[in-house]
Amino acid sequence: MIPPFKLIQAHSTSDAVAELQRLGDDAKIYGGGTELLILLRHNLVQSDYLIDIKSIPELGSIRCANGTVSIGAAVTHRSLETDSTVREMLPMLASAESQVANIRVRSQGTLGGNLCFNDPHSDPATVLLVHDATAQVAGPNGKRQVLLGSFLTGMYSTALEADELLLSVDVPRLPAQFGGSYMRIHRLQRPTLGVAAAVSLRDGALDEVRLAVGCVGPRALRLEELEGNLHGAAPAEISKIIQESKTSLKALLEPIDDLLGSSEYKLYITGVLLERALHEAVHNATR
Amino acid sequence: MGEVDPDTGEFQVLQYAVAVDAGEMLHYKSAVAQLLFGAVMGFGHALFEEIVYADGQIMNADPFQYRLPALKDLPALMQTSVLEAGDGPGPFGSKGMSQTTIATAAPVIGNAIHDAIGARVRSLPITPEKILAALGKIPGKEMKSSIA
Repeated sequence: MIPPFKLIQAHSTSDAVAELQRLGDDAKIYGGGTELLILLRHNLVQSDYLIDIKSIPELGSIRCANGTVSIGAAVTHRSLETDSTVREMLPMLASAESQVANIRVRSQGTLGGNLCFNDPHSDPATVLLVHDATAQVAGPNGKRQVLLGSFLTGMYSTALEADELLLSVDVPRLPAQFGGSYMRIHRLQRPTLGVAAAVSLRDGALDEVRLAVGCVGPRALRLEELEGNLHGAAPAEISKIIQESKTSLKALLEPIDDLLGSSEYKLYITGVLLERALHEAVHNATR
Repeated sequence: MGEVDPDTGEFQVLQYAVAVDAGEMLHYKSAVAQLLFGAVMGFGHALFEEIVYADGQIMNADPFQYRLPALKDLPALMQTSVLEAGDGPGPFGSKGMSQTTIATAAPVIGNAIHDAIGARVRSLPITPEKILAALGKIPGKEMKSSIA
């Protein structure tokens, strides 16, 4: 049973921030509730007040300007999966969103809730990292921008202060010559592994490479060292370079043994999926 | 018939057929449903279901962590054949037949995997991780088997 709580309807973002400031730790932001209500039910989170932000119009919109798609925090996974702008501008995100959980969760759960909860086993953050997305945050002292890589600080934790609200995520589309790919493996309810790759080519070799891995470690991460090692490599060398970086990948990703598999298994399939995603991204870049 | 991805150890049943000696089917639809969904239950034992303990606690006592077969795990084609010789000890020559297909799923799937990749997984559930270990791609409890 969910312990009783008071639902506060926020009508604007400043309204929501003011309520957060007034109620402090007693209040939680309530978007889709797909994570929050489970936590409340299992008494893993206690909250006297839920601040419902779903009816704030600007948080529910998807806007596009100058090649950047601004996604409101309360936009659902299902909207991202089906929205024509997202599908055209950010096909990799649309693909990842179409694989989130199941259609009931996608219809209810929001991108903002997903990122703010920052469950390590999640799809969208991995793709957004490859897009160099930025989180727009509002607090009592106004707005600030945080790069998504800095926003996602660790397992179930973000750079959000207790009185701050995630407004939107600004996602620049991949430059025109880039190809992208998102791949995942899942066995239980949540994904075991998610890999996003984006590459551009120069004279048949990899030029700029962007890679992110989610679900294996405490948080989704960009693989900057491997990106550097792949720069200038021929597609045929991808496999060898990934094999050579296994030790540093293990140190970076910190895989653990759990119900989803052993750390050796996770590291191994990370290599397999990185290779596959890179090859698909190369294919998409040359198309 | 099944398909194994030798790089990731992912396995999918592509086609599945069961045959049973029912003596006499007393109710056709119920009998066929028992056979088909007994097989699906068997897929669970073969591929997914496992209660995991750590320090005396069950680690997966909820549907998020305890995996059952889902629709996507089922093959596009499932067939049943029923032998009716009327030679059983039950009414009209029937025999106990319901869910007899549960027990055969794991050996069938284990053999299909062996047929596909030449490696044996000798414990249930047969997970992608165990398949990779049986192939010698990752260390694991599953010994790399000699190809029989």
